[in-house]
Order: sequence, then structure tokens, then C-alpha cells
Amino acid sequence: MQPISKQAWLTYMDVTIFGSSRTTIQYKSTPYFVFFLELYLALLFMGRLRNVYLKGPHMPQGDYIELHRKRHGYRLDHFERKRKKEAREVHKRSEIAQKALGIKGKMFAKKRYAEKASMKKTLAMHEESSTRRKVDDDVHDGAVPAYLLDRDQTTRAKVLSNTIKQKRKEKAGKWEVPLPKVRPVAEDEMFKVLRSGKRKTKQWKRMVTKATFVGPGFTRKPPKYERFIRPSGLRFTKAHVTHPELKCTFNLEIIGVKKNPNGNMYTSLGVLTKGTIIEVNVSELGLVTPGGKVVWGKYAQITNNPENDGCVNAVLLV
Amino acid sequence: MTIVIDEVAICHRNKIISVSFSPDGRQLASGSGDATVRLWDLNTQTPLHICRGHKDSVICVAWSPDGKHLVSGGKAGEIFSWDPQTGKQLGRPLAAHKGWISSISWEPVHLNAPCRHFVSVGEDGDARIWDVVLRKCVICLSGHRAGVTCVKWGGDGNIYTGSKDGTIKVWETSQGKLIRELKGHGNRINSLSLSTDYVLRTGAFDHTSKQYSSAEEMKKVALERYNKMKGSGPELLVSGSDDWTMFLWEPSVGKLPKTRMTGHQQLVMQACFSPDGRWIASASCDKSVKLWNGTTGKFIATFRGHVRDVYQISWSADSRLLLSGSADSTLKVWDVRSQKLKEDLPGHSDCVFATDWSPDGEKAASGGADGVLKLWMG
Repeated sequence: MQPISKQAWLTYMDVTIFGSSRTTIQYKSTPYFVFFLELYLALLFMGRLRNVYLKGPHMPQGDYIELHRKRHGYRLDHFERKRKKEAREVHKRSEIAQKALGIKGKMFAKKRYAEKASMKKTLAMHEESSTRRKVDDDVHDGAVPAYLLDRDQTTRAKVLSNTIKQKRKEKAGKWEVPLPKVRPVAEDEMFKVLRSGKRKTKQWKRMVTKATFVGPGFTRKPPKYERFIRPSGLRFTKAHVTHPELKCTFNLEIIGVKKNPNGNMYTSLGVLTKGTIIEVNVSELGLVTPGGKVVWGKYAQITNNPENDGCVNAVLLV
Repeated sequence: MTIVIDEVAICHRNKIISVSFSPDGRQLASGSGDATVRLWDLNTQTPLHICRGHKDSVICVAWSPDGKHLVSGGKAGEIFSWDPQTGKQLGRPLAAHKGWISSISWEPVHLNAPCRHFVSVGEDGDARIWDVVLRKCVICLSGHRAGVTCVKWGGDGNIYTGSKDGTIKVWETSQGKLIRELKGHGNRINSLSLSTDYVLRTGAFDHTSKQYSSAEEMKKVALERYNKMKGSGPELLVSGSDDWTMFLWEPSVGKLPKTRMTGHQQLVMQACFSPDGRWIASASCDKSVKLWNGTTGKFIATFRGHVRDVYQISWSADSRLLLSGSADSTLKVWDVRSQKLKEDLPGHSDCVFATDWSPDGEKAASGGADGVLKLWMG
């Protein structure tokens, strides 16, 4: 029931009382049931008045508990119950975590992970402030000249010490790569058969369903004779390449596809799948060979599934 | 002339930060991140002495112009002086600076022989004049609002300090008064160079490798050389800064700059006069080295070829060649007359931090982050 504001309530009472007094005056001319109705209403409001007096004007539900506690104190087992409930909470949460499926499970796991990470951070912070670090006498590793001392430096230097090795490997066609084994991709998965011809009976056209690299010098054949279609939405020209020693990532241009582990045809088509060796343009990294030459292109291996992720991630082979 | 690499020595356990030839060109000192100063025998190309004592990396080493002293400033703020003959530490370390020592400059020998005073500047914003005989700080020059990055003791007896607050201050040395303040740069000053740098550094020594018996004689010869070099005009000062420009000053004449040299597209790491004072070369983070006229400050040429920041440059003694060391791990020799790359010197496997061309012009040395000191011969 809607709680009545004080003003409205008062006017209502007024009317009722006045009405009832009027009914006493005009007693004979009014029918009985009106009199009883009014009496009933008056009694109803007396009851409401009593309620208002005792409980206060319609409090929110939780406040009644507080009021009760103010008057009578906590339940005798309140704190024990509270402690036990808190103790059980972790078990309950873990049960939910194990049971939750689908998007709910994902969301829950993410939330838990965030909580855990923030807790670890705060713990580490507290630990750091409590353990006094001793002044280290030994020499710092990152010695730099005075002109670089208070500048932000990105350590990108390092000569590629094994250029000779790289050449030898290139000749042998053997590579020791970060991802030595990749899942073989079947032809059905790699290509989608397109029907062509007036009656759509011919089935010699193929569409590549994976990400591809198409060089800037590529010219299309006439569409009638085009056997392989490489969708332009799945073409990439840049890759995020991580330098494993410097531990930093650069967005570099792809020069070409060196080797696709699934076969020679895919290499020539420029298909980018996980484990493919690509050549990237590293000229902006400023790498230099032992002979003092600037390195232009370097090989990198793709570490993700570009067709699923929408980007190409790779690790530089050094 | 082809430059051949003469020695590859794994010398330091850590990065080499400073390399300096002695004024007579017979000795070489290098300071490194492993907190040692090493003295090298240039004839046999072997390490001669290892000077231990620093608590942290050695940032700068400086020879006195008479070749009798070697001082080194470290990151921990202390200065050590060494006997270059024996490699022994002389006295206690000189400690007064609160930050690292960024640069050290000696008093020219024609003003005072034998050499006693040098000035050191540090991150704490002070410049201190020290006496190596009394082993104490004579004068403290304070006034900069930020750390001082470079210092030069001029031939007419003034000290020039360039600071991170963007000003150059000129100090008088007998009482430590501030004479003038050269304002113009909008950002920190990275390097200062005087047109007479070469004679101030070498003192009385020249290419004839003549030895002097007495200090008086040395002083006389040094004064002669200085006056000859300076000629009739005043001493010029060039300053390179983080605001991508350089200024050419005549600090003994006035506080206004002579020219502003613009053209670099990144901060200027180092600007230095050629030994004959006719050229100025500047190294910058825009991967180029630029050549300027030493008297007017006019732009002459750009040397391109490095693929990373150029950190240090040094001139050959005859002012015809220029050596630049870069973060791309190579050194390059540039020919000033033809304005072309003369020689590419690969060999280091990491950034080259320090280069120096010996005053007699025969050798050049370079040290870098790979901890190898390389000596190059013509």
C-alpha cells in the first residue's frame, strides 16, 4: 500500500470527521449504510493511526532489524553465525566457480581473477614497505654515460650476432623455430569450394579461408580464370613482431611469406597460418650486422591464428 | 688511409662509458660501469693498470694537460685521482658532490703550471674547483637551478658551465664570482665546446712528442701555442642542447649569442670544434652528423649513414677526419673535405658510448655497451 503523505492524510481525516459530524446532524435524512460506512472508515483510520504511532511512518524493511537490535540487542548466536557464514563463503564461491558454465562462468572467472590480482598487488606493496631494502654496494648493471643518465632509453640495440648462422640455415632450409610443430591444416579447411558457371556446376574455384599476405605488386588475373580467391578482408600487410631478447613488440610491415608449414602451395599463395615463417621489414629497428650493414628484412614466425584474431602476431627469429 | 682494427680486448666486465687519451697521446684511460678505471699500454695494447676504488660506475675521466694526473668522477659522486704511471690512487677520494659527476675539466697549463686545479660539475647543480695538491675543494660555484651537464675551463681563465636549466654560466675563477649568464636555449644543455679545446687539452704537447723538463718551460710553450691558436679574435663557445639547436657564443665579449645554428631534427648530443677551430661538428639523435663553419656558424654539410642516435664525435688532430660513434654499434669516419663517408667501422656488438681520437692523431679508441675497448689505427 502506498504510504500517504502527512498533508493528504490530515485533510482526509478532516473530511471524515466533518462528514461524520454532519451525518449526526443530518441523521434522519441519510440512509443507515452511509453512516456505517463512515464509521467504518473512521475506525480504519484509527487503526492506521495506531500503527503509525507504534512503528513510525513505514520504514524500509532492513531498518526494522536495526530498530529491533537497538531495542533488544543482537541474537545470542549472531556473531557465531556470522563467522561461520564468512568461513563458508569461499567454499560456496568455489562451488559456483566450478559449476558456472558459459558466459556466466567466464564473467565470474574474470571477476575472481581481477580480485586475486589486485590482492596480490596490495600484498606485494605491503611486503615491500615492511622489508627494508638494504643499500646494494655492488655495481648496477645499467651503467650509461652522463649524457644518457636521466633519459628514457628503449634498449633496442644489440647486433644480430648470428647472421652467418642464419645464412647457413637458409641454405639448408632448416629452421630452429619457436613453434616447431603446428597443427596440419586440411585442404577442406583451408579452401572453400566456389561454384561457378551459368548453371553453377563447375567447381574448380577455391576461396582461401585463412588470412593471407598479398604483395603490393600483385595484379589480379581476369576473374574468369582466377582459381584462388584471397578475400581482401583477410589480407594483412603488417604484423606485430616481438623481439625475444629485447622483450618489446613492434608493428612491422610484412615483406613476404617465406614458408608455410602446410605446403609449398600455401607458401606461394601467401597464406598466414600459425607457424608460418614470414619476412618482415626491420629497417626502423636500426639493427646492424657484425659487418656494419643495416639489416632490412628478417624472418619471424607467426604465433597466433590470424584468421581468428584479426591480427598477425609473430616472434622474430634471432 | 684505411683504418684497421688493431685490437679487440674484452677488457671491462661492464659497459665502457668514457675513453680518454692522455695529452701526449701515449696513454689511454677508460672508465667503465664495473667501477674501475683502466690504463692501457698503447704500444703493446694490453691493460697496464686497473684502478679500483669507485663505488659505482665511472662516468668521466680527465687527464691534466701536463699528463701528470688523471682524475675520474663516478656516479656515486666521488672523485678519485690516480697516478698514471703507477695506477695508484692518490690520497683519499674527493667527496662533496651529492649527485653523480657529469663532467670534469682541468685548468689550462698556460695559466698555471704544474697543473693543480680542476673543476667538476655534478647532478646537484654545483661546480667545484678542486686542488689536487691540497686535496680539497677550493671554491664551490653554485647558482644553477638544475644539474650541470658540462663544464669547460677556458683559456682566458673563466669557467663555463652548461646546465639542465638551459643556461650557460660564466664564472671567474679566483673568487668564484658569476660573470655572466648566457641565456637562449630552451632546454637542457648537453655539451659545450671551445674553439681552443684542442690546445687546452694538449697543453704544451704537439705532434713532435717533445718532452719538457720543467713546468715553466711547459707553461711558456703552452701559452705560445694557445695564443697562436686563438689568434686575434675572442674565444668561441658552442653549446648543443635538447631544444635541437646550437648556439655560438663569444662569452668574453657579451652575453648575446653570435648565431643560432638550427637544422637538426632531434636533440643535439654533442657539438665540438675541430682542433684548428675552423669547423664545428654536431652529433644528434636524428641519426645525422652535421658540419658547420667554426667562425660564422653557417651550415655546411650533413653526414648521413648512421641508423640510430649518434652519441659521440671526435676530430682527428689534423681536422680532416671526423669519427662518430652511434647507438647502431658502428663507428663511421667522415672526410671533411669531400664531405663523404670515408670509412665504416663495424666491430662493436652494442651501442658505442665513448670515442676519442688521440691528440697525436695516430689512433682512435672507442668503447661501448659491449664492454670492449677498440683501438683503431690509421
